[in-house]
Amino acid sequence: MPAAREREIILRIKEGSHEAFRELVEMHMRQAYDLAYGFVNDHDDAEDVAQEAFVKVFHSIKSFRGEAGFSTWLYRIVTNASLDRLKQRKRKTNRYVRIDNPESMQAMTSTAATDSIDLTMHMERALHELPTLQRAVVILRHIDGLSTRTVSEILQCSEGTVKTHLHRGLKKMRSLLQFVKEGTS
Amino acid sequence: MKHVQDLMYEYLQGELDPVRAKQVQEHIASCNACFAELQVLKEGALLVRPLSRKPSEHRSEAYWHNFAVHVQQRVQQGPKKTVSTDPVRNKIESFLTYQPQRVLALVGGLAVLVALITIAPFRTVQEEQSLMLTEGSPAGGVMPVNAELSNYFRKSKILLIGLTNMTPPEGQTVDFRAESQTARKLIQQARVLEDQDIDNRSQQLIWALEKILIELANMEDRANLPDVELIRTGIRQENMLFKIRMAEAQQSHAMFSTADHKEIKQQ
Ligand SMILES: [Zn+2]
Repeated sequence: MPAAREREIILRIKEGSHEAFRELVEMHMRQAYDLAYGFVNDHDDAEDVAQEAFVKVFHSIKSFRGEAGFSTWLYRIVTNASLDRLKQRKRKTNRYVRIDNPESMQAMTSTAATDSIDLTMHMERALHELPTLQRAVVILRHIDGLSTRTVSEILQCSEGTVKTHLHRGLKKMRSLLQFVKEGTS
Repeated sequence: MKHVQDLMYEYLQGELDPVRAKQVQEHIASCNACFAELQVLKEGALLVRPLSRKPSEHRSEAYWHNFAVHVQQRVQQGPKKTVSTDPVRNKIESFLTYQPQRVLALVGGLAVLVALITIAPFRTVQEEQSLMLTEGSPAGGVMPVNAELSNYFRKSKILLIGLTNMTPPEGQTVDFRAESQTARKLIQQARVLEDQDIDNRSQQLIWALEKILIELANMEDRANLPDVELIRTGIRQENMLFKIRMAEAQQSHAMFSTADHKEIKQQ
């Protein structure tokens, strides 16, 4: 999406155009959903978080000044909303792990369940064992492939901090998944 | 050449330019520590793969067709129930919007109040902390944004100072319930603030603070020294206390200058 077009749409939203807002949502909704899912690991929660994030976008678009690019801003809002959701959930259950959505269950019991589905499941589970910031960095930098700089803008920290958390996160993932690998094979 | 941890991930992903990549390669060939580190990182990176099918692809076309409509419905329901349906807050908002003269007077009064609070001498951190912990809902919503921001920054500062000054006995766990609880309240307060029209710098500081607060809120009830140390390092690295003090100064300056402005106008 050309930056000029995006700027124009945002300008129209600031002027109150619901049509333009709808267009913006449609351009970014899958991206927002995927990111939210990476954090919350549950389709219903991902939907709720992504929608909530767009509602927030609508209400605070006036404060968006465009230094960082809309995607970065949106990512930040989705990340915050996701972390918030995890926190609420943790307070409720006092546990991070919750792989109980129908698709995962199906994957688990299906005879066609392959190693790769298995590994995906374990990976999602292991991700949720990481401390919040490590998880955020692993998702944004490694899984979503954003640059160190963009991640540092989204999380509002230094690039050095991103790198440190990435190393720690990947190392921890390795030790968590190594165990799984040895256990299943 | 110094160690190359900083470039390792980029090296693994093939993101470095050829010159840099060659430097890293040469260093790794001659440094056991970096070689070992690289192997671990590489294994981790290989195990954590992007999902083969994106989560959004689990949803149907019809679902995506209606997504924006659902968002718009939520927009029309109002931003957040706690904000929009609160009659007291709505009154305050319309008051703020339509009666600038009285707002200036109010802000002036508050500036004096804040000055009194700020210069109230010799109150120890511990006293302030216990005061903070017994205070009611942080999201009361009866203060104008500047005052609410100052209040939020002040509470955060006290929490962080308490944390930096904490000296837990070696090898023992620390009771963290009070800190976690305060952090949670502050996060809620930040959410309310973020829904309002606040300046960019405050917004950024809120985000930076939020990361620390979230870590704190997620702490186990009894934390180990290394966990505490990790958060402290975060506070130091991001120079948080300095940033908060600057922001506080900025907020009170904003209030005072509004008040001054008003006095000049009246003369
Ligand atoms: Zn080395």
